Amino acid sequence: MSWLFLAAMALAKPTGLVETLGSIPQDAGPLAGGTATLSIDVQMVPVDGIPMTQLKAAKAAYVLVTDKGVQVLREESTASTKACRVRMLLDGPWLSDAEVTVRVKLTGAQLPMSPTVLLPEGARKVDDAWVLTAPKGAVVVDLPACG
Amino acid sequence: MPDHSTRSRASSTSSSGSSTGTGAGTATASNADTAEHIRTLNEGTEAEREQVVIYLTQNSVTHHKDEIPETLAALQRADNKGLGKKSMIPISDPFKGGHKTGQYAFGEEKAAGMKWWHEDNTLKDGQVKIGEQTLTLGPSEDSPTDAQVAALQADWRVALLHVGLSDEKAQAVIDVLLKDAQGNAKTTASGTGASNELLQLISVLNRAENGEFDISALVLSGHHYDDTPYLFGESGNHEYDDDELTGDTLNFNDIEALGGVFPKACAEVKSVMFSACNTHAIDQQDAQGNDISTQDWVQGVFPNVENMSNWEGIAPGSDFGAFFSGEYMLDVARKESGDKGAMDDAYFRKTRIGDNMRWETGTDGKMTQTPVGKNTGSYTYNDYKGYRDSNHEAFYNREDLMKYVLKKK
Repeated sequence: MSWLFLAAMALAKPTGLVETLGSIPQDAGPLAGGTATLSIDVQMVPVDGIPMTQLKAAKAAYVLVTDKGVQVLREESTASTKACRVRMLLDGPWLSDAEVTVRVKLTGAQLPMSPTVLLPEGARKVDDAWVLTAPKGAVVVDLPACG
Repeated sequence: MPDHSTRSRASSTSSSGSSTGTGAGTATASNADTAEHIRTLNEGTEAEREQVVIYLTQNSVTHHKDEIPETLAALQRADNKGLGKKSMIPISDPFKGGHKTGQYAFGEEKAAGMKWWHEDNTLKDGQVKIGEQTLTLGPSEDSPTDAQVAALQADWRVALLHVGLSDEKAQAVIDVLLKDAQGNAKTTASGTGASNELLQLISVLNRAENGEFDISALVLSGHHYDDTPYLFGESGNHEYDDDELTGDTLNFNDIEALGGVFPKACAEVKSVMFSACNTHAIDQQDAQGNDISTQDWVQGVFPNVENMSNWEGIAPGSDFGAFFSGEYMLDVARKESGDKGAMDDAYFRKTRIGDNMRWETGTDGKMTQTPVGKNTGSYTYNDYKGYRDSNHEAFYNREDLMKYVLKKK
């Protein structure tokens, strides 16, 4: 199936729009740990007289540490989109005890309520971040007051 | 706070929330009158029966913190304003956080006797344990054998009887959901992951059919692709759980089929709200196979429906969608209390990428779109707190709102 066909399929059946960011290459491993930071820049724009959240930009940044102690940096960004959900992928060639710190940062306009941050099972809150062991899946952020 | 005093009002309202019959067409009114007469003889008048909003959501991630509490707050406001009292029965998968809705749809005792696959990791998707029996209500794999499909009927029967259906009604449900036109065994049109929501819906339809309450309004919420016949939810990793056979997909064809089994319950439905994207196109056909509109489908299943709301384009997330649900239910209460213009304006009408549409049944019995003007006096915005006056607070933690959730007696 061609990418063009897949894109056409996706466009033909939209529901709530999702921006998916980042990926950890399998050949980066084995990985002993790291940090994953999802930065989301937002603005509030009136729609039919009501201030609504819009995504200006998002960036997924990873600092990965291999089993040999080498740091691997990787990031991916997106420009403004109509998405109200941002997904940052956490799957990777993690060692079974690899600890990964996940941070979500929001910048720009002050939002009327907190975003909903959805994490894979087993996430532990530590200060302003979450810690996961050998995570699978993604951290998903639903922007509030968005549509 | 917006000023509501400028809106026209009926001179009197019933505290039970009974309809004054505004907007019903001649033919529709005739059907309604006959049905109502029969029900009155057996089960008391509509004014004496509890009026209930069924809020069915396939997406269980945040609705308990946004759409459902705001809709309950709207019901509370309608009650406090003398526009009639309605209760709600929410239907969902277990919400994120663990709260379950089976207790409302089935009753606490029956729900307590059931263990779904969400609660017991020895069970496969679509399985429920009742007593010592493990029942399979849908296939957990892509290619079930004919024998596995045929076996679903016996398991559904046990589940249907457990939640209170008579032998006759259980068989009727099996006949329409689990047999094709030739009488061969089939799976439900809904996916396996939606079997618990489907059983909850059947339970409330059965209770309404037996005169326990009237379903005066039905809200159908979830994700929805353009021109497809199902709403769907999310899997554990928050990806779309949209496989038509095994996913969390509730199919409109099943709802239509259930309309034939529970005609009295469906005849009482006055308002239907789709809180889901692209519900202007739900891939429905008439008996000849011709495509029909969402409003034609709704009128076919709910013959006395007076109001409908749906989305063209992308509906907002639950926290903003909450306002559309709340305002719609408050406007329904206003209209049922005699405010004929209640649907004509709204505070909440659209997003960047979607338009909320309202439809009403006219005197000719046809459902037509209502042009909706902007009126910030129609509802409250309250810096995204709405009438619930909070953000992200689950309805089941709100004693004041829980008074409007119907518990089975």
